[in-house]
Amino acid sequence: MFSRSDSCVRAISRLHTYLDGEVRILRRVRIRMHLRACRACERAYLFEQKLIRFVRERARVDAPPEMLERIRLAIRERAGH
Amino acid sequence: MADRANFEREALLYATSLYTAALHMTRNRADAEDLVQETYLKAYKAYGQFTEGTNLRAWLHRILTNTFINSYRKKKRRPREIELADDVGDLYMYRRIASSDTAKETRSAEEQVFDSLKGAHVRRAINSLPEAYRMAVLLADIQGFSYKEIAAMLDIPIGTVMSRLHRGRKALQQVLWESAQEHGLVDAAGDRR
Repeated sequence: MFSRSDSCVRAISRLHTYLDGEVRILRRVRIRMHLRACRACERAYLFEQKLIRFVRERARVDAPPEMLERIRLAIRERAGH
Repeated sequence: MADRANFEREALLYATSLYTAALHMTRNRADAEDLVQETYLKAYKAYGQFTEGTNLRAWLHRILTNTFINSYRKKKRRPREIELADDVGDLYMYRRIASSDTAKETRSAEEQVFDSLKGAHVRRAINSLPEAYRMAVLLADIQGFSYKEIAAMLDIPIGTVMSRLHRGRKALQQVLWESAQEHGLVDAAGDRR
């Protein structure tokens, strides 16, 4: 399915660091070129990217309005209004 | 130097971001609200030291994280946390989805997995991670901070951020996959109902 060649293994092992934008330039270019050339690794990359975005979106909880109100009041009290 | 008069308008923009983080740190609503409120009051007091034009969200998260580490985590009994397995490979979910996918289906296994995981399932999965890993995943994946920013917030080396994030993400994928299966859309054999 994937991880067929050494460059697949290398790309997959650094996939998250690459996704996080934390791979140095030369290595980044090498991974990017590999993903362009290898459909299987590219699919894995796109899935990981989608999953992280999905988790970020789903984990989000709006700040409760009552909490915001309490914080506003507490700040204003300290500001001497 | 930042002007306190602008504090409320500028800092409260990040209330949802801070509350989401606080909720996953404390794992209960009452403590999360207290933690966010305490963070804002500390930030208000220290706002004169904040350099305008730099990253206000990161600055607020640093205060939140410190406040949590110094005063909240000690007093709380920990809910059930998973043990991290050592033998989880990379691409845990992707490999399972790929092997359960069949071309005949109109909806892909991938879509079904994403559809089956609601906010509560995702939050519960994050909350089941042991704290060290949960903090790394929370700050990187939910808040989008860089390794360097996370290292500074948690006061640990960048290498430690990377290894915690790596293990934490694998564990999270495992819990999410189990949760997707539990919710009836993908059974143990990978067949869909």
